[in-house]
Amino acid sequence: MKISDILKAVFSAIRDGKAEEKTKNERVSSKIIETTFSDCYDFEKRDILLGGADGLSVRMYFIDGLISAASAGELILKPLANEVCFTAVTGEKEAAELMMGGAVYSCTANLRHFAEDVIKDILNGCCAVVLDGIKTAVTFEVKSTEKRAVDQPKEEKVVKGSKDAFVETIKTNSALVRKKLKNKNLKIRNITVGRETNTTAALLYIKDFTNTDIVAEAERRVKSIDIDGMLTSANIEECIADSPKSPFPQLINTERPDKFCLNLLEGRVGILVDGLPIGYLAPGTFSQFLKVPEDNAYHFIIASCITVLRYAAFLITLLLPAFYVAIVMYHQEMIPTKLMQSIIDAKQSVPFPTAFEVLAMLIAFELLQEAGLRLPAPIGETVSIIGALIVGQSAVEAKVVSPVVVIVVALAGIAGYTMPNQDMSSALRICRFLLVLMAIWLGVFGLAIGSAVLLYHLCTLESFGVPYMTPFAGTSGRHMLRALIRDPMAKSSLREPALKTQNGKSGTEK
Amino acid sequence: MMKRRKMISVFKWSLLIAAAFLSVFAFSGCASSVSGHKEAENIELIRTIGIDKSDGGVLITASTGVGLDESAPEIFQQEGLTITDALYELNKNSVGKEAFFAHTENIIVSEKFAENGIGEVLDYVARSAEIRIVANLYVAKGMDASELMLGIMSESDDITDMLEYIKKDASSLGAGYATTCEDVMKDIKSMGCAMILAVTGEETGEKSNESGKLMAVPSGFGVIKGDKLISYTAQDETHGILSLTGETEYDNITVTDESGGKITLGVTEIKPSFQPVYASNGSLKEIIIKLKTKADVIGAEKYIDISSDSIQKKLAEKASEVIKERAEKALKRSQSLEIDYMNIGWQVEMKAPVKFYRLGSWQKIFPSVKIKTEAQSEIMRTFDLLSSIDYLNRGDDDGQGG
Repeated sequence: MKISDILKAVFSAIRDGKAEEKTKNERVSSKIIETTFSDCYDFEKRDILLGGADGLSVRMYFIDGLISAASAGELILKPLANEVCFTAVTGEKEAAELMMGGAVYSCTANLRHFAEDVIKDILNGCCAVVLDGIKTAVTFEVKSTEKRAVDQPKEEKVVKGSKDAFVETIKTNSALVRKKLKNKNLKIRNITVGRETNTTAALLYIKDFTNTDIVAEAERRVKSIDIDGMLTSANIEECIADSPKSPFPQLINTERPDKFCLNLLEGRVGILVDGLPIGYLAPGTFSQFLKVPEDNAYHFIIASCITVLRYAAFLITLLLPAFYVAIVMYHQEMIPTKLMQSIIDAKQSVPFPTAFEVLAMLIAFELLQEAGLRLPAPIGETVSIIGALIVGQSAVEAKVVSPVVVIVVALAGIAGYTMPNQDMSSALRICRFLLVLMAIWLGVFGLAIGSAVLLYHLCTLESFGVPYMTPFAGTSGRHMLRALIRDPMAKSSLREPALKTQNGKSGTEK
Repeated sequence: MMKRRKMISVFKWSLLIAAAFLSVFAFSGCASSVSGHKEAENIELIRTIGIDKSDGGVLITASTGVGLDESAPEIFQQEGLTITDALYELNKNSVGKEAFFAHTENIIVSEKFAENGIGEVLDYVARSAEIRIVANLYVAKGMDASELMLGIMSESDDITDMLEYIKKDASSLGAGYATTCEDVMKDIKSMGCAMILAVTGEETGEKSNESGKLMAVPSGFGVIKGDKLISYTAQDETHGILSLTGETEYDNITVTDESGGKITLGVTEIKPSFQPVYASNGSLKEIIIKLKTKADVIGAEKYIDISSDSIQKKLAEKASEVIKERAEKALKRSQSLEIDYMNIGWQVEMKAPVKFYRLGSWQKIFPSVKIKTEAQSEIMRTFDLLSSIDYLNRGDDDGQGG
């Protein structure tokens, strides 16, 4: 690239920057709007004579595809061109007043004085009628209704619960929440995030009992997001989490409105982002990532047993491969004699050391999982079956790996699948590898050190001022038990204490 | 401010990691685990060790036991100056893989070795990082450990499995109970004596060749004084020991009724209680031992009316007589050997510790102390089975069914 090109690019950037700065403070004009959207194929303008042939001329701007053409024609163009009231209009100020006063049938009408606001509205699916004489515009919301229909959740399987899931449209999502929480105290605050994408986000909470500090903190963090675009889930999670470097999820995410609402009722703050079919909830604590809405749908004894089983699965998926490596390599005396004999028999013809076997199997398992996820569903399932059954069995028969290692790795993998949250499951997969490496190095002591460091890390995490490990840390033993055992609904009267809700009681004793 | 917080955080992490690593080396003996590991396929599990006296010092016989896939057991032998030396040489020369002793369940010492003292064995077990202190200790009665192990070994039989059955069943057969190295060490330390289950080889008569011709059977207790084997207990004495130590799980007693018919009683429980009687001057006058027994009638040569109170009473008296006689024999033997291997002293001490300490040396008192034994039996399950059969038969005759 020549120096002259670089200088041109720099000057162009400065010019653009200045232009952008200018639009923020500048009053509305057709020229600014048209300059801003120059070279935009989908940007459309339309001149309209108010009230017919002899009327005042105004110009309407919109982006094709973002608006519903039928609605725009019926609700905006038709009244502007045909309404008798516009024929007598003498000035643009009067025209603007009429438009705002209901002469145009669109439900939403906004009077805008600054170019920046008009541009934002156009990008959000509004038609803007610019009145150059008074440097004002009236914007009407006529968004395109093309959207994905509300469907069943794809990632979070529902066994016994409502079968609807969030979609990509924020208003549909907030409506789904409203339908479940018909409560005047459900507040939904609108925030725009993303420098370039201007994405709409919404902060949801129940005014009565959600801790105001958490609401304020969530709003502050969402508002302070300073990135180009809010297009993926990681954008919001990493931007507002307390410790973005930690692999453990700190925001609960769900595609299920029922789970979203249950957490709002617990006193959490919800965040919805336009374009993402996921609802976020803060603060996210460890115990919440091991809960599913079905826990409230089943009998409390069954739900409690399943929860305990899930915690056991958490330990199995995290520790089993490392524990196996540690005891088979260093602490053979810990293994019962018959089992040790069995392990020795199985290992007799295997040419690889235990450490290599376990690491190779774990990597193979990850590859299979990744392949299953990336491929289309029917092929993905086939790959998983071929991988698990044929390759696994063949590897054992060819004495490349011992059957015990296959059992250990498969058990750890299956236990990992019981995690209700995929982010938590992924974090555990990383930790599992690290613990195996520690166990290879130092045996059970390595495992103990690794586990202690992991526990330390988890205990130092906070989410919106709430300890991540609550109720296992920072609260009394009674609350700790609540994470494992669910009380009968009639007796379940307390909200999670760590959330410090304004009204700590729920249910019958509210 | 942020920099300071970051520094504190880094410092905390460094401290935690350093402490974690240092803790590894703080555990005694665990530093060795850092240096290396064992691969499972390179390990040979040794499940039973036999220790004999030999001309060169010690002869070690190590058995792997029958494999999970019913593969034949392997036996390795090695001589050495000491047990440590022999095991080291065994690992170096005899076993192709690395002999691993952490799963050794049984240690058999020969009679000759035990007569010279089992101190070396106990010392080795206590100091070894591999052999477990809870390994069972046996004495090979009247033979060498290697003779017993090799005599039993065949393609499908091994001493390990037989000792496993003996450990489970000896007590219920009234043939003693297995003791661990830890038990023996504790007993020698506290009482100066101990009991070790004696096993011997009985010819099966089924196999003509050298291997597999023997079967291990329990044969009472070997009595250890100091660390030397001085005697064995006879069968009745062994029964008595089990009664006095409360270790009877099940026992059979055969008595004869007035008509001369033999009746077998199954003893399900014997609860001993000890009551020392002190004289006014503080000396121990006598010890009264009460043995409360529960027994079932499990077989009768002729029909007896078990539901009859008088018959129950007579059976109970006869059972008590046998139990009393066995206990007295065991006590008499113990006193004659001048060692309290049944730990009667501890039972006496628990009743009145202060008075017990004033007695002075229990070892000196025990051989001459007067011990009175009382047995009280209760016959359980007195339901008359024959009369009920009669009733059922009558039901059939009446066409009413069972």
